[in-house]
Amino acid sequence: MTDANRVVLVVPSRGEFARTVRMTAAELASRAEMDLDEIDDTRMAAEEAFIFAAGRAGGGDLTFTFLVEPGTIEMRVDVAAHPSPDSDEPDRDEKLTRLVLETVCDEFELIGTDGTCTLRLLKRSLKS
Amino acid sequence: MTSPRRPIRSSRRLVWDKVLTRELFVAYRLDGDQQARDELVEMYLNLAKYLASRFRNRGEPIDDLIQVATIGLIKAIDRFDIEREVEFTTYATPTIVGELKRYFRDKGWAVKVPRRLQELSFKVNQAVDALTQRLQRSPTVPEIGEYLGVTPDEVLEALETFEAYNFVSLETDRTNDGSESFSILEYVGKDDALMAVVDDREMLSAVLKDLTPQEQQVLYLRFFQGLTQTEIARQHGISQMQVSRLLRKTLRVLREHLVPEGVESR
Repeated sequence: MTDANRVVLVVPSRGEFARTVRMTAAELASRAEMDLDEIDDTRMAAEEAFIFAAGRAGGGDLTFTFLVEPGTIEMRVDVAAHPSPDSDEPDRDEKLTRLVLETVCDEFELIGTDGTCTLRLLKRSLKS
Repeated sequence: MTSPRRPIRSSRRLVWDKVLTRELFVAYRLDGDQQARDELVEMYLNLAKYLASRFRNRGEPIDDLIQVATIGLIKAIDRFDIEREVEFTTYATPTIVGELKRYFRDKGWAVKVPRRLQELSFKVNQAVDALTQRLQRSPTVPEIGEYLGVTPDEVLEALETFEAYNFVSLETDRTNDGSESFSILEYVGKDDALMAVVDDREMLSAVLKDLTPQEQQVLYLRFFQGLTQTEIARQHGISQMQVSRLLRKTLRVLREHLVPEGVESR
């Protein structure tokens, strides 16, 4: 996504800021010319990513990076503590997050296996 | 006939005694002993008070919070399955926390949403239906804005509001689509992704008590059958925005049960 527009949002990891992330994601998905179904998927993905990262932020801020181009939106958020290093079984929170994100996103991955990691999501419009 | 229960000494009420808990549950469930139920409430009141105190810095009187938490405790006592190999406190904690969170949600929404936005939310909901019908696909935000003569930003705000606001009328919306008898338990196999999250059917059964058959069906169609919100809306004869709202509620309930210590999004 080299020609994508980059938007960076830094929010406190407190529940009331989920709305800020949801609305930003929805606005950017609309800007990426997505329809309402796809916008809602993007919003749901943003909320899940927020809850997941906020639960591991230890009270620190969360940095969301969005890359937007027509028909596509990529979202990344750094997760302060890796939820489940390779050797461990994912916890319930991670399993639930995976269940949701694998449904509403086209691509979903946790990058990095030790210490901090990045949650990366990609949503494509069917029209693109 | 059951043997007479030993009286509870006041000092024991502070302790969550597993043996006594089981005795009281047996007396309440099998013999319908209401006094046993009262004693359970009294015994676990400290748990309710402790959980209520975790919400004390949010501007609500602590007495009101304890009252709400106690309602959650009573629900947990009435729903707890004594055959389950789970400690009562493990079962009761998410139920009580869920009751407290619901209290804040209902209170917050009732106060914060301006009338203008409530009305616009309903209009956007109707516009989405009309445009989906006309275009035979899910509309875009600019299309909804143009239809209603409002800006895309207003549409986005209305979408967010519709989902967040506790429209009472929607709670009683029931379409004649056969979902009243639907139970996700009949459809979820042991290898399904949901079972990997929930661990076992008993836990899933406890979660599902907080979801209506319609909510269970929407959850199933979206996350297991992969239908889009618009497709589910068409199948159920409800709006896409209602589907969105139902989905968000199901995820919230799942989280409240499965990750009670997690961050609560608002």
